[in-house]
Amino acid sequence: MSRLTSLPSGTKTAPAGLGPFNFRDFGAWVLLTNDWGRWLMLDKPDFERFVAGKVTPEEPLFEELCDRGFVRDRMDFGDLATSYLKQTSFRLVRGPSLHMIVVTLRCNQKCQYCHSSVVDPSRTDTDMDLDTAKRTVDFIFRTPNEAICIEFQGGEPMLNWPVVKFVIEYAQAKAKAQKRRLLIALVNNFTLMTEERLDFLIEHGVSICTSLDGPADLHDRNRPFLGGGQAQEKVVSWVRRLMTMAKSDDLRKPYLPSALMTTTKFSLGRAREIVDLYRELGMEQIFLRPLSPIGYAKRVWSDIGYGPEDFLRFYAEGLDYVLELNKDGGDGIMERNALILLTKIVKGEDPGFMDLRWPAGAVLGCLAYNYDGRVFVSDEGRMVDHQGDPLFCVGTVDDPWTKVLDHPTARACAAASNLETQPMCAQCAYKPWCGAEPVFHYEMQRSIAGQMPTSPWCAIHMGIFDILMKRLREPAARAVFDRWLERDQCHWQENGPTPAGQPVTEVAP
Amino acid sequence: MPTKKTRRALARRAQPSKRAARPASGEVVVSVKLGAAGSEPVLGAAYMMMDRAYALVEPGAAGALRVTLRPKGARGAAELAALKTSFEDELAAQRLRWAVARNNAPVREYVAENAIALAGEFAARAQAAPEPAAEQLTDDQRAEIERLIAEVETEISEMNREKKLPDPNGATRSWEAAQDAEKGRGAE
Repeated sequence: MSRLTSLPSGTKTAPAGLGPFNFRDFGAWVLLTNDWGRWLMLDKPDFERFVAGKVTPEEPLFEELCDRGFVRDRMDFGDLATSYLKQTSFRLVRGPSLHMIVVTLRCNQKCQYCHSSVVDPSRTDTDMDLDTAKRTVDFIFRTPNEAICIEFQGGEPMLNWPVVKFVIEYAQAKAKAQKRRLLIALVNNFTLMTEERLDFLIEHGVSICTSLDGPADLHDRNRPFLGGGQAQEKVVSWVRRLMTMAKSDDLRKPYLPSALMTTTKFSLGRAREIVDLYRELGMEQIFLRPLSPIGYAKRVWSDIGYGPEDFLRFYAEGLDYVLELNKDGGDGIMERNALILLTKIVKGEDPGFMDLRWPAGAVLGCLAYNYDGRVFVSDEGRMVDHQGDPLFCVGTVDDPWTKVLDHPTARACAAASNLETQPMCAQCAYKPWCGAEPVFHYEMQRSIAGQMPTSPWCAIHMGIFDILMKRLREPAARAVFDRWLERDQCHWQENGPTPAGQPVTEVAP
Repeated sequence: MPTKKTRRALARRAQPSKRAARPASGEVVVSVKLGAAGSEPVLGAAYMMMDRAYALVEPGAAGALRVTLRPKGARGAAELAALKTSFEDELAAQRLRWAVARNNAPVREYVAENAIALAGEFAARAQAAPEPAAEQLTDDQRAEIERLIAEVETEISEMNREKKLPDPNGATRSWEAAQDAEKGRGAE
């Protein structure tokens, strides 16, 4: 059976009365979905009757199929259009909202998997200068999107702290003047954090995000300091510090730190330990993320990489443990992949996650700014440039806004990531909630469109969807998922209620 | 307009393949009559096989396509038989998928048009941001930005003069340098 799943030849079908749907066979049951994000899990015999046109109007199942838009002659077009709009609202927002600034390529860590293409701390020639920073912010504020999220990426941004400070203050002044919503997030490794810097960040409402791969031996193996030393200890001590502050001061609760973990070969089999650390630190979420074979990570893939099936085993182990920790209720730790996808699947809403949408977030949803003022379709696109291939550069901060948005590469990325034109994706049951990543596929398969039957990207995402769909059928897991969605952690930009020029409270993915 | 060369190539492709009707060793050949469903389901099924096999689709006998599958893994009789069954299952699924897609294309377009119309009001409100932000700044705001720039410039030039990296935790120092510094403190 293909990854898409098939039908036994000889299956009786009567397509004439069927509404538009895609299906996925799970053995004893089959998932039906449609463009509008409606879905239904049918037991196999019911599915066979459905495709044979044998479900009769007297049956409760018929009503259910009609309600969800699976019966051709019984569709509520207005209802389906509303549902469609709700879950794909990002397609109607003008211009990118997420802007990733690389203020330096320098870093004081030498991570095994670093796909950010960092350089030695002595290389100050890769620092963004003040003039470029100002022109970058000016360029960002040309986006017609009313909401702007600026995210500092690296290198380690704190190695160019004066420019970080300037960008924050200048952007906030502009947001206030233009009455626009602004979120600023700083992704840093905490090793250069000081009391003074922390005060500045809190005072300016900057969300703080770090990297934490797990227990000390694992983290320090993945993310060693240049010259040696214990990196994890520093991260953990700052996270503890921030959590204590947040707990003791209501005003600071919105600024709970968040952390990203990256799964390497060394993480496999250790999901529980990693979750335990996050839980012990009081983190609200853990984001069990796969490693991307982009940039430097591609070169060392044989040392630290793994197959999609290895990651999926790790993910299932981690998610199941998180669910187990939540079974007694309360505000337990949540898994972010699940939360993002469940926001789409169960709530039918767009969580504002750039990596999983179509057309891809590249240019239409986000832009990345290099220290030298060049603009890229995404941070991953910038990393490909650092390896010597400028394909994903779409201009500079001195170019007119329109020139960047209308760049042939921007158009190509949008076209290549349209799932309606992908032979396999167009027929996939997960199409309403999935996405494609041109840079990933360019790196892996030398094609921005990719070849989905052999794509590890597809295998991993389809696998995560499968795991979630199976858990959604389990009442205990479903109850936990529903509680997570009530806590509503997945809105950070377009829908935020934050007044103009004020920091909004959630960190970008 | 296609060139003469392209037209000749297309005409050649439309001819039935002259390849041997019998499969080479380690291959499966399936002939599929197109009928009303057209070629899409066959091409779709061949595409879905790409994780397991190399697939070649060629014109076959009149009104048919010939699909040759060569497994990427083992090529024993059992594997070839399983591959053939697998292709036939894919074809059955593709026929259903394409029939549903064709029947419902107008419905999907209509719902999408409705969604866009619903979004009209929202889109009208989302006006493009004014370009030259600086023009909107008050004198006070402009002065504040000038002050910020001056402050940061001073900070950077001081750092450059002292050749000092912002490294309060000593994270950029090598292990040896950190140890030496530690010993020095101990000796004091």
